[in-house]
Amino acid sequence: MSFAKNEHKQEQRNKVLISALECFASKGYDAATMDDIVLHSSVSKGSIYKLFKSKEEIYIELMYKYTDEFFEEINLILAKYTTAREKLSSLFIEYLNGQFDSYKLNSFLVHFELQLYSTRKEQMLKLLEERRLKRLGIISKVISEGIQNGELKQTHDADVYAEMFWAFFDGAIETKLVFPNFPYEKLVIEQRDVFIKNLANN
Amino acid sequence: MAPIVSEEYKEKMKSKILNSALECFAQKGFSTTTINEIGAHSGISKGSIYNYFVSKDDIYLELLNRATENDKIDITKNFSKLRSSYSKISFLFDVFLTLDPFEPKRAGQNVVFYEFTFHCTRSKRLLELITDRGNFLVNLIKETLEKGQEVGEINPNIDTQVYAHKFWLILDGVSLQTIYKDFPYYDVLSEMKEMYLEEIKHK
Repeated sequence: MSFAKNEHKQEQRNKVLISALECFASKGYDAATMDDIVLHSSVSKGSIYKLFKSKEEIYIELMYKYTDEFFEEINLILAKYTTAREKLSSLFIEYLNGQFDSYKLNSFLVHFELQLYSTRKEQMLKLLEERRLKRLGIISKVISEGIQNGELKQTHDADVYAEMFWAFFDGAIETKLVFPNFPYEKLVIEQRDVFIKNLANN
Repeated sequence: MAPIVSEEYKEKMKSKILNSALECFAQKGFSTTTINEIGAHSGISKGSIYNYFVSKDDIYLELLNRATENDKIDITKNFSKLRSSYSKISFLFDVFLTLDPFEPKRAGQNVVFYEFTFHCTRSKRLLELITDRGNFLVNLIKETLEKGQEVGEINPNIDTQVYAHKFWLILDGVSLQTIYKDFPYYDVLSEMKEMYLEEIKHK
């Protein structure tokens, strides 16, 4: 009995989050109201408030959902390969030049805006900082391992290169969202070549 | 009858509104700021503000246009002092390497700029306007690289279109990280600069 109840609750939660993502993406977080989310999700306002205290709590939950899904996807790609070169290359090609459906594009947009929003919300920024370190750690580890086994140059700082990787990554996603006519795929391939060439021992 | 309100007065009012708006945006965020707040901050009534600007979007666009115009003048002036394309590109990187992105005023304006940029994805008209600005910036680099290729100073094998876009993509990517205070801005941008210059140099 309580299992079914929990399952129902989980289902409703997901429904609300997916609707909220669409509302935030199409109108912007500030302009989107709880009523918009009610209308879009067909979950009553009372039920939504039983699941989330506020619109901001939904925003934060979306951040967790996005980053969890993101890390899972990145780790799945990395797990398929053994060398640092292949791992890095596949993130450019399989992830950045992979297919983005509207759910993913909306997630990117909402997550970018959430990061900007968090600059005025100390608590939220703290949560994001944790996620940022986790993201850096993933690439930093790949590069460090490559340096240790002699595949990558010892002269490079793994942390700085991890920062460079993510800076390019975010710049690429921003380009994809804002300037759909720009030569995105070519930029990604070009950067992959240069990035790996700089890191690798010949 | 001669106009009662002089052009000079109009310009003064406009500047006042724009300055107040930028401060409000940086403090509260682009989307939460209301025209009423800009009115209160500038001491100009809401009605008067609407005499000068149709909307909040319009106010930010004017701010962006003015900033871009100033940048254009600055860049042209500095480019004329530099002979080689290579040193021009290097100079542009240095412009960004010598500023402090964490200084509160600049940091606030940086956030507003990207808030507005993402906001533009929701309107066809705004997206076109911001794309025009993007294209202008891209062409500036592209033309510089092409001139350098003509005189054999820039690597003839690079795709100038791609490299022009890449320059701004790098800057956007790096600027977006600056909301995190521990982001090593100078280390990352310097390394990106070296990598970029190494590729465009004619060997």
